[in-house]
Amino acid sequence: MDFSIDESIEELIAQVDKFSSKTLRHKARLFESNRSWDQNTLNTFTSLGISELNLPFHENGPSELLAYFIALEHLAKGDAGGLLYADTPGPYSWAISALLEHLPKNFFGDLSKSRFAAIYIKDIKDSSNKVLAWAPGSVDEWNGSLGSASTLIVFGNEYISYLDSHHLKFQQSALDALDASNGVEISWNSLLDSQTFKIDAISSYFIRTMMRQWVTAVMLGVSQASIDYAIDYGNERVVFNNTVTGHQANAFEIAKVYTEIEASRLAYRAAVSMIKNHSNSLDNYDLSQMINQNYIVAGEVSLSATDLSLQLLGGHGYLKDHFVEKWWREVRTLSILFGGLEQAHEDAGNEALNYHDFLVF
Amino acid sequence: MLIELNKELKKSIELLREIGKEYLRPLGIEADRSSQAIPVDHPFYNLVAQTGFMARGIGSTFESGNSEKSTNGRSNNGNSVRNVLMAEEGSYWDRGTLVSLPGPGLGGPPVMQMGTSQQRERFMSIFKQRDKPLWAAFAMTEPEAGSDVAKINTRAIKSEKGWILNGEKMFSSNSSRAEWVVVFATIDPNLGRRGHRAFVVEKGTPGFDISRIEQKMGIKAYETASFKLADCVVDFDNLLGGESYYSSTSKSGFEGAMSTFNATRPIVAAMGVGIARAAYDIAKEFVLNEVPKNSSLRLRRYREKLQVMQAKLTHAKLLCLRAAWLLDCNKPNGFEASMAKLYAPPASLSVVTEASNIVGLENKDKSIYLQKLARDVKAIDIVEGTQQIQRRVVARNIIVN
Repeated sequence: MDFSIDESIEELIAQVDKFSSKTLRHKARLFESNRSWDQNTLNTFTSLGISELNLPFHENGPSELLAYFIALEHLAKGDAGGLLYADTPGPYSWAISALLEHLPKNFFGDLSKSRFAAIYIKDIKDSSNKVLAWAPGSVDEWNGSLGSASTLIVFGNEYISYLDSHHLKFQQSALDALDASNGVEISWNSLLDSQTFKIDAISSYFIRTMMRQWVTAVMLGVSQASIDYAIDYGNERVVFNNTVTGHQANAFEIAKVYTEIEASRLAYRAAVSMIKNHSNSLDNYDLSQMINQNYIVAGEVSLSATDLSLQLLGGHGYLKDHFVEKWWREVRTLSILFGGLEQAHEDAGNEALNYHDFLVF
Repeated sequence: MLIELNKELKKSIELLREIGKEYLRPLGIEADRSSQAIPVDHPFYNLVAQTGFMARGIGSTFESGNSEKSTNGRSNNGNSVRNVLMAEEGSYWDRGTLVSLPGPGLGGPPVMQMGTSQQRERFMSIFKQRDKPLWAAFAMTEPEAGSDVAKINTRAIKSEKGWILNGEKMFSSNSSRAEWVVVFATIDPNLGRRGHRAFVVEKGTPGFDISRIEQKMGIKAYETASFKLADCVVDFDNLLGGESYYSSTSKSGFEGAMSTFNATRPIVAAMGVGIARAAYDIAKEFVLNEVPKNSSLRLRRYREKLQVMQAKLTHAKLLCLRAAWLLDCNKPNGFEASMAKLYAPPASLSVVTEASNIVGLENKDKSIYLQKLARDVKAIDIVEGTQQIQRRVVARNIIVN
């Protein structure tokens, strides 16, 4: 049993924290009015080397996954939208890795410079209707300025396919949050022209589960940023002759939510540890189900944590003068990505009766 | 970060599982039905003593303590993690019977953490013998001082004969059958926490009288007692740590008690997880075997409930294990211990309640047993500091004022 974090990860986190709080958070706010990222910020993100840590098809395997996910948490404190924009292939890496088995080597070129989106559709063959997906990146980028590497991955229960940007139509996203991801809406009329490969149901399930692992880390980072911000504010603001946090009603709620975030963090990191170590002692444990459960709990905790944070600031929390309103919106969008909490409930519930109980030794 | 167990610990858990199935649960159910604690002379306790369990029992830190750090930087060689896992497994079978088991119990940690080497030898070595079951106990709570520990009013006055103790204690587990009880008292109530001292009061000491065995709504297999101290004189040697412990450092009995809580809160929290896991398994078995397969809507609802229950238990258990692991690494764990104790009990209660709702009255035996588990698990949210106290501790750590 070991809950320690390597020193190398702590060093990385120190760098990430500095970038996140000093630069990313503020640049993301500017994006809301400028609608563009400045190149220096993107370069700094790239220089941290975060995205490379999450390449499951890397020669050494997912050995750096824990570092990657912890870094994600801390970057999300800066801006979750910026992460979706800059961290590529990011949440889609596991879907890509499933495709790579079927494609020539280097098919996608330099993965760290390509744009990806992924969507889950239960039965690809029947999906001839127009479907909307959401992806990070600008309309221009998806329209080909990055070349054919701009790819939409579509996976179902038995198939995985990809469409390059020529098969897709784009328009600016109308989403309510994650502005700095510069998201676009994608639509297509038919998947018949796409390259489709058969995969097994477990692989499909695992792919969308791994995407949820990404969102879980990001949601928890956003929640932590939000509650920390509210505590700082509440420690200063005096009401009824006491600070906001000095009132027991508030302090108790903060303690509860803070603990729930911490519990979620431990659980999702434990899941990463399982991926990383393939621990024999846990061979009775279903990783996918645990990730789904973690995602559900983290989602619900994040919704309440960001809401409590906004409440603690009162009317100020509703204004763009503070970040809590942004985090409030972000979590509500993150919790509907990749099937959302409802689909995760169904996925986890479907296996609830068939699987051995986690952490029962 | 690595969540795995060594072979020895796995073996211990498997052994406890067998004991739990054969003894802990049946005895716990019988105690609940009869509203009588398991008697001191029950053959099961002799059996437990013969195995050497008392020297390495649940919650025990007999083999080492914070004051005897091993060379690898760990303070007790993984005992805290072990204790959490054993407490969880034992409580799965019956928390009441588990707490009733002979051994130093909650009396052990303060002796090991505050006591001198002579005191540790004197009070703990009795548990090395295997001839008969022996108990020890811990007494802090008073009728007017529960969560607010600083308010304890049991007085300790130094005299030529020794320390004279006067006061009243309650909610002391197993003290009615204990060879000795660690009693917390104050040398001056005006000193607050700084006035706290810890004494070992031995069985038969004049003035030490058990006044009442509490009638509880659950966890009936062990005795929870109240006792009075009336001009009870204890030797100078029974002041834990000796006077130098309190004068040469900024420590007081209060710090000793808090240090005890840092060790025991993750254990108690894990007990809640164990009880709730038992309820979860009952509900799962009910859904698998007794809900008609054509009840698709009902099954879907139950599946979702079960996975949420499972997630809560996983999260709670991880908090307990992390707090215990920190203690094993000789790192501060008060904050983490309180987080575990804040989260696990209400999560466990909600799991038991949900299990009870799933089974309803459709299976009488399961339903009755789940009601027992609900009564048992509720105690976890109170003992070792209520949920509200844990929220205070956690809040104090994250809020400036």
